[in-house]
Amino acid sequence: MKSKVENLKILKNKSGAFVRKIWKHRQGRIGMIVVLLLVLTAVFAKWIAPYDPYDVTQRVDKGLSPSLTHLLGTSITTGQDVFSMLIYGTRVSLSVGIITGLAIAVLGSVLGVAAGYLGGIVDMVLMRIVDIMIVIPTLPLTIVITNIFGHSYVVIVLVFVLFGWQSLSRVVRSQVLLLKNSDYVKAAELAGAGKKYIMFRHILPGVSHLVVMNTALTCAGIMIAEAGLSFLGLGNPTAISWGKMLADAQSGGSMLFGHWWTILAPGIGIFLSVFAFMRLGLAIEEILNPKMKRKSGAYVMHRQLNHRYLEEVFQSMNDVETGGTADE
Amino acid sequence: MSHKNKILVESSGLCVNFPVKKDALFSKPKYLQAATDVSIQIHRGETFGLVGESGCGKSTFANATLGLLKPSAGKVLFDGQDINELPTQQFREMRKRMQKIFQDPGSSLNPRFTVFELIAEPLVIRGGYTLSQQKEMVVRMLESVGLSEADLYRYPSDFSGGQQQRIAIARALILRPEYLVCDEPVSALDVSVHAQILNLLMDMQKKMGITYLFISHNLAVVKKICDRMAIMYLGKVVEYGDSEKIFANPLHPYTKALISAVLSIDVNSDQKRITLKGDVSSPINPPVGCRFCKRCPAARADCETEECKLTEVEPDHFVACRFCC
Ligand SMILES: Nc1ncnc2c1ncn2[C@@H]1O[C@H](COP(=O)(O)OP(=O)(O)OP(=O)(O)O)[C@@H](O)[C@H]1O
Ligand SMILES: [Mg+2]
Repeated sequence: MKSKVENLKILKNKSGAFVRKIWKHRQGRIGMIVVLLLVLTAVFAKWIAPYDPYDVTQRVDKGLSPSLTHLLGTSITTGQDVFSMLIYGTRVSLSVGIITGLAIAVLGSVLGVAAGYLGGIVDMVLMRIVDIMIVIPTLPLTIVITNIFGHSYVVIVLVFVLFGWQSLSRVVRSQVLLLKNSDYVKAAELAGAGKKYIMFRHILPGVSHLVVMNTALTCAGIMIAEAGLSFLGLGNPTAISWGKMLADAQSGGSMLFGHWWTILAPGIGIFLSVFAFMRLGLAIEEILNPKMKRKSGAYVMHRQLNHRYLEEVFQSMNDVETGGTADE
Repeated sequence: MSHKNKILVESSGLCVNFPVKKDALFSKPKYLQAATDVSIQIHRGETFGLVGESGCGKSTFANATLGLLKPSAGKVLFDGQDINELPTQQFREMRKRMQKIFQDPGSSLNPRFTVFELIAEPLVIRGGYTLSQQKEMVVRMLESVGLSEADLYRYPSDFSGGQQQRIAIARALILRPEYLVCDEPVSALDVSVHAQILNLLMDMQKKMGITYLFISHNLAVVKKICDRMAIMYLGKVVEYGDSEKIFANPLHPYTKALISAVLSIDVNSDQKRITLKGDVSSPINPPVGCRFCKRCPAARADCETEECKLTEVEPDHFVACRFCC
């Protein structure tokens, strides 16, 4: 099929144009650059970090202050190089964030499109499930599930995905409903198009930008949540992550010794990555919703849902922090 | 193509009802009767006008003839075959012989498609055309609607409303349909381009011998371009037939009022303008008898209770009024 190749080419051109649009957007460019830097850091951590924090033989004295050999000193509890831990921590944070974000994007949009496009009983069942899952308090359930199934990242990602797809699928569904009733879909139907064609040619491209935007914002939210879990000691205990660095710093009493850098470093890591993904997401949102579309139902709806989602994430962060200190 | 049937599209006793939200849980389900007992024949190659005020069911009828809406009762025959009885595959084949031009060209063109993709879409869906064939056909079509090859890779938002409607026309005609529904094809456009678009449609009809169902509010336009016509009121056909005969000798009070409204613009005309009083009744609970009776200047007592059937008063001229026949 020649047209398939052609379609792919067009798709490529269009996504290229989209990336260029983000680049032109000031906030979007900042987000893109920082995300890119973080990805590079994660991929090349081995070469960037001066020490391998996973290597027990490279551990030195505990609680050293910053110096030229140890840029951010060493950790109070284990004597690992804090700067190297910071670099390696990017891996966990970013991969959990991005993998979960992508999985949610796929699951949320597939279920959203199914509900919106197929309608009827599928729609009803899916939307009831969403209604129920959205009111379930996520954090306690996460704690229970990780306690049962172990603290591996696989379990954590699965839990995040399980409780993360609902808002996206709702947003996608409402957009699909709009597209489904549009004149151009009717025109395609009149030209003899089947359901599959309309789905892949009109509906999915019509929601793809929404999904991209939501994914960027979800990544940010998930990275916060992951840091929170690790801080609580619910992350993978053998992995080095920013949340765990914070937890270790606190349990080791870095504030007591005045080692503020061991807290600030992972804090900046978390902040930077969340900040970058948020910028990216908000930039895409602004590109997608020029003033004209501000009032559309779908826009208002995903606006609200996003606020609600972030609020929930921040709320669970607070819960984690108060819970964490209460444990001490 | 078979040219056996003189009648291309025929509806008999066509009713389309839309369910209305119930006000109470156990109340009887209510229906909005958008089209009731519409029986119309559209001849091959003609331009058939459909006139009536907003909400009287013109688009509903047109969509039912295209199979976009399922009738609640009655039949739609296309080239002699009942379109709602056909198996899906055959119906899809048949659909390629029908097309529609929408009122708002902006919403009928996917903003993410280039002009080439838009016009070639019916070809892609049908399959069996190579890319170069597609391109050749699209360019030829584009030129015949007055655009150029240079526009091929631009997006619909780059064009004016009139140009967008040209793109929509090119797209609708690329598969050489036999039946084209034009649902108020100019009413969303600037007055200055109305004539251009209408002329384009007429040219294309001459070239390709297409049958048009032309929906319009504008009686002057209908008078100019339509061979036969139907006038609808609240979901029912009140007068139907040869348009020359109807304009020369309007019989139904509603038709008279409509035509007098157009003709009274003409200063030389000595006809008095008939103005209608009252509001259109609701299509949810239409009057049992003549649906026009509440506004009819010639209404009598039993109009409200006794229905009038369409009757032929002269060859190809039907009226649904008991006192005009
Ligand atoms: N999908 C639908 N669901 C419920 N009611 C509908 C639907 N489509 C149309 N209607 C109603 O059916 C009636 C006829 O609508 P239709 O669109 O056919 O009118 P029209 O003659 O085309 O009007 P206009 O000139 O404004 O386009 C209207 O009262 C409308 O509200
Ligand atoms: Mg209409």
